Amino acid sequence: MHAIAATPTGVERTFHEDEIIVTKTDVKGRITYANPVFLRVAGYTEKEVLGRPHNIIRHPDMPRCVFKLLWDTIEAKREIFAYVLNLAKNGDHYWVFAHVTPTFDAQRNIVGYHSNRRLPTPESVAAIKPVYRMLLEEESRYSNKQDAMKASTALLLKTLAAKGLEYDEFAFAV
Amino acid sequence: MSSPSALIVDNAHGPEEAAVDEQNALRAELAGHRQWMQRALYVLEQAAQGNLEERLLGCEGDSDLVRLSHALNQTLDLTDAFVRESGAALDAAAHKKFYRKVLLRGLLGSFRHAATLINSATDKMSVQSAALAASEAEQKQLAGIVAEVASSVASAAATVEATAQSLKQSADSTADQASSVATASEVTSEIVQTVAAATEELSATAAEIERLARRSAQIAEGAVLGVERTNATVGELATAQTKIGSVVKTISEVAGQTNLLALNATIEAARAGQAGKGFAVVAAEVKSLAQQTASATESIHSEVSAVQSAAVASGTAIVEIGKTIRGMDEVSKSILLAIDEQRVATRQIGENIQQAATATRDVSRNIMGLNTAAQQTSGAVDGLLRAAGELSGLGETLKASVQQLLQKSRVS
Repeated sequence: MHAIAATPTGVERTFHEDEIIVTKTDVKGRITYANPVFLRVAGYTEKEVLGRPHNIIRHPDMPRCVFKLLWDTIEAKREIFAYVLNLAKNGDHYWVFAHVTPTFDAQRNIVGYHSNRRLPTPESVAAIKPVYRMLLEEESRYSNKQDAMKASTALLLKTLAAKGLEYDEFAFAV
Repeated sequence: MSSPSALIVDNAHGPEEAAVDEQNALRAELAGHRQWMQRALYVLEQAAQGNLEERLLGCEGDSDLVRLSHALNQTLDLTDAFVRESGAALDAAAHKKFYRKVLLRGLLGSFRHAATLINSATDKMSVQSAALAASEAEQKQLAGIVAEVASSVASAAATVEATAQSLKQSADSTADQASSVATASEVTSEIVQTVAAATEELSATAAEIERLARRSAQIAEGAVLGVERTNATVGELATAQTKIGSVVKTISEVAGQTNLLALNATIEAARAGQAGKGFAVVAAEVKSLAQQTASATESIHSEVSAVQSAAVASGTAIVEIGKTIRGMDEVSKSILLAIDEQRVATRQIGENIQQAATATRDVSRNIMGLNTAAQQTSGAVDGLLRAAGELSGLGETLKASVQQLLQKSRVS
């Protein structure tokens, strides 16, 4: 399912705060459109990404439970905001504040997904990093991926409950 | 529906064929342009109908067309982003998620302006929603207070009702008790009267006893006097006895002397012979007379002695009788004393009974009064029960009204 990802170089990439990275996928998550900002920041050509699964930019330091939450939410026809660490083609990384929404046809069936990613503030990144580190550590305790995801999801929910926030509100407040 | 259409721009190859090539190239370019235009037209027509999903794909290089394609795509991206964001933000606001603002980063010009408007509208809605929530909370609080009051009223009514019921029971039982006390006090009255009558009888009996005792005392006094008189008589008897004794003694002496004389006479008579015979007879007569006198005096003596000893005996007996009578007198006196005390006691009883009778009458009157009060209470309690019932009903109505009010405000 995953493409063979490059080893993270530790080099951070960035883009302008008025730029939006835009991608569209089909219902299975395969890229149907990627705008020039995406291609530039992620380091791909259009040909290289069209038809590829979106998780080619998945960074190993992202806890899985965030993606699970993401897919659960958009498959339920709802939007989600999330801070995501992405992997460029050459292993560089970049942070985004992603907004993913489902695309509907006239009968309100899901026909694809749409992602707008913006440059996050340094403060937000600094705030979310320890949370993701904690979730990632939790996942690393389990060899079985399903168990790992269950455990970190539970931990995420517990963290949210402790703050008294729903996830959406939490993402906006970070 | 969204198929990637590639736009291929070839490099030209030879000099001679350059012209042909150039022509071919131009034709190809034109064909390419036409293809592009058709594609772009499709995308734009779709966009005009509100389908913002189509993009121009496969644009590489930096020709004008590529830049045009990118510009077109970017326009659609921005429009798409704005449409999705504004829709989502307003939908969230409708669900009271006022934190979900339109992200302004990346939105430019009119898009940003509109986004800002939406965000400030969301803020206003948030404030209004908070105010509404506060007012709802106040309303709820008020409703809560009213409900509490209604509850208190209801429970107060219930308490009043319960109290009234128990009061009624108490009044009824008091009336019952009053009845039985009235009956009891009537009985007591009878008893009192019976006792009073008995006491009077007791008094009468005591009076009778007293009379008898006095009589007894009188008798005793009389007896004492009689004893004294008897003593005196005995004394006189003794004196008379003594006198008789001395008289008898005198007679005896005289008889003795007569006897002697007779003897002498006899002797003399004998000496006198015949002349003295008559005298001898007389002397013999005198002698026998003297002898008779002597024996008479003897029998008188013994008679007198007998009388004397009888007198002495009777004197002793009388002394004894005197003692007994005096004893009786003492007893009579102590009976009188006892009677006196008993009279006092009886009078006491009489007075007490009278007091009891009076008290009983008072109790009776009070009981009557109590009965009346109990009946009045019962009546008042009935009124109270009615009032409690009305109050309870009011409380329920109030509660129901509050519920309705709460429901209405919830729905809104």
